[in-house]
Amino acid sequence: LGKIKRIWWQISGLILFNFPFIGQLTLPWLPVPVLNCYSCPLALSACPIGTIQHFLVIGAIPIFTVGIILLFSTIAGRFYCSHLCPFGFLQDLLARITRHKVRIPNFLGYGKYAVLIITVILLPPLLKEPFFCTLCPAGSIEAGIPIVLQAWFKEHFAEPNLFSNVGGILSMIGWWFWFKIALLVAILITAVFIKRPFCRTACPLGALLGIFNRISLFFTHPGIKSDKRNRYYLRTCPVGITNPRDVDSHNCIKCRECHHPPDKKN
Amino acid sequence: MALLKNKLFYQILLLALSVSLIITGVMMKEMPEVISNAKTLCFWCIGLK
Repeated sequence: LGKIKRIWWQISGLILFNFPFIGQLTLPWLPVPVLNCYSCPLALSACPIGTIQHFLVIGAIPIFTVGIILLFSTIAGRFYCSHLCPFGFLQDLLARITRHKVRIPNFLGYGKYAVLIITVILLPPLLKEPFFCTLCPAGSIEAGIPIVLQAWFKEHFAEPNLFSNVGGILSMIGWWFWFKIALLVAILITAVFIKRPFCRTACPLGALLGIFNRISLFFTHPGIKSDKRNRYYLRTCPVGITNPRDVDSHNCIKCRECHHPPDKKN
Repeated sequence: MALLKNKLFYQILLLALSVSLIITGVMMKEMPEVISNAKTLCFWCIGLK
């Protein structure tokens, strides 16, 4: 498995979680360990963050979903972030635009825990709405833009249909939609200059998966020893880890790129 | 004390905890709620608040 290039894993993840040929929501009962919006017209299964918020909104504890996330986390930690997450893949692609990168302070890595506690756990039961979803950039790009575009095309180019609700969707577009799009654009522009900014500072799913990153069953890195065999090549780290002791920390996405010497061209 | 320093101990503990949570969730009939939520169009995700 380690010999397959990460980009092929990411392309496979994108297709697997948004498989257009087997229909929408084939596995609606399974919250997957990637940030993939379940309102996306091509989505395969449920978003764990959306599911957790829904249960908190209705005043229930999401025992099943927490169990699934804990299981995924125990098996491979944040491996899914680097190899399967479509939104992480998009940020990796944007990072290829320029090699000039801006470093961010390490403490910002704890921002994702603040996002998890405030927007996923505390606010949804108080406001009675899935608050993180109202801001989620993955929701904007995977559900917001395609559904609104679909409605717009149907209204302008399709045969009129009395029972269609496309007009309803278009009439509901307000300032919040444009705010959410602006937030998405800001994150995507930031991703050109900062490596994976959303994954490192704001992803609540990354926060959950990262809790047990150091003790996951698979894909943990060998410990640091004095011999050179365990040297890490951190210059190309996609999350900007610079200290070898931070490998396998909550910020590490287990891409294993630090195992190989970087290409001389880089 | 040696057990508490063993990574395998925590891995087994976490696996057992996660499997028991999943089984508890299934027994408490959470699945239909997960499915119905996933199949409902999330207007917040789209940005139509």
